[in-house]
Amino acid sequence: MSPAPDDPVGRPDGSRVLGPVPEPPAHLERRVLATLRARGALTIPGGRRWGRGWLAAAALVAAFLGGRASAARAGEVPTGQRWMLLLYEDAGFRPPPPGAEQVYVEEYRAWAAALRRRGQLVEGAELLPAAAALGRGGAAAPEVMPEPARLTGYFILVAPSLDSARAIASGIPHLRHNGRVVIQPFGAS
Amino acid sequence: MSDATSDRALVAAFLATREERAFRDLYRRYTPRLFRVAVRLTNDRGGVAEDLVHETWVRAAAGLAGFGWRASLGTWLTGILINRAREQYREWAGGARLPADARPGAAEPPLDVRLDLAQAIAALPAGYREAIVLHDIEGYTHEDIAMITGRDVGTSKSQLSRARRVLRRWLAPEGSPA
Repeated sequence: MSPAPDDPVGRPDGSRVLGPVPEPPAHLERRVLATLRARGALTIPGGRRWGRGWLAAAALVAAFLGGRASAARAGEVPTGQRWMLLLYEDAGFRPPPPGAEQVYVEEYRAWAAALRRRGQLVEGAELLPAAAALGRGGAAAPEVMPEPARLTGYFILVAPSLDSARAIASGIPHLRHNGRVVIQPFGAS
Repeated sequence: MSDATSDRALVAAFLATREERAFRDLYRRYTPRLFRVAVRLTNDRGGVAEDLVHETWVRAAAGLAGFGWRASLGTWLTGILINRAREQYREWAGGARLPADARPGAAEPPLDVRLDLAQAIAALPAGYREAIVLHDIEGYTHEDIAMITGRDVGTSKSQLSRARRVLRRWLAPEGSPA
């Protein structure tokens, strides 16, 4: 079917009367890739799943600099009210571009090292994808729970109050990369 | 290598490895088209159109393994976009936020509002809007549109005809016969 001559819409080049549509923004590609990485739908050459290696490296460095190794030694574990910072990644998270993972690692390392020097960091680690899940009554449940964001790491802090923990958490590089952080207090032990 | 062959090769490469590089090739080939359709459907160049394209690729990546090549890859992807757009229309109809400059699927616009063509298209009912955008702007055949939208060819033709009639009426200079 051909459009009538007086049809307001040209065909096939609609931009003739509608004006051109701009190219898709570059950040859209990054956003799509980030989502697919976060969902484990992409790999990097060599078959490794995307989305966790950089945080694993960062957390490992942070753990050794910031507490895990030294915490094993008596007398060096910070004491006081503990808070867990839960690091989430969702579609808005901006992972490092390929080849720039070390930049992120250094940011997290520096942040964690500063906390350690101040006696505020107990430990930190990457959380691997869930290995199994149990549903009500202990029945096996899908391993991947429906969730808007994935929990990818944590840090344990010592801070005297929520305000203090929030102030510490506000400096975490994760927030600059559009990740989200939940502050979770520990109950009395 | 034809586009179809190349598409098959790209999809096969992606499914075999799930490598980002292979996905990126697919993304860059089809995103300009998808983004254009999303913008035309919503009259929105910002977040809404981007959201539609984003969700299209997320769904496509999950569904590519089951894609049977009964349609071209571009047609299949556009179908995913259209379905996501329809979900969006329903969310809007349910009272969620509307973009300031787009009222997709709205009833006939107020007479005191001067419409340009893009606004008028965005204000068409969903079926009419899809017919105009896909056929008159993007150049799809009615057979393609039937596959994309899940409607039959006759419906596609009649919706296009009605959409053109409505647009002529809305865009006619005041006092002129529509």
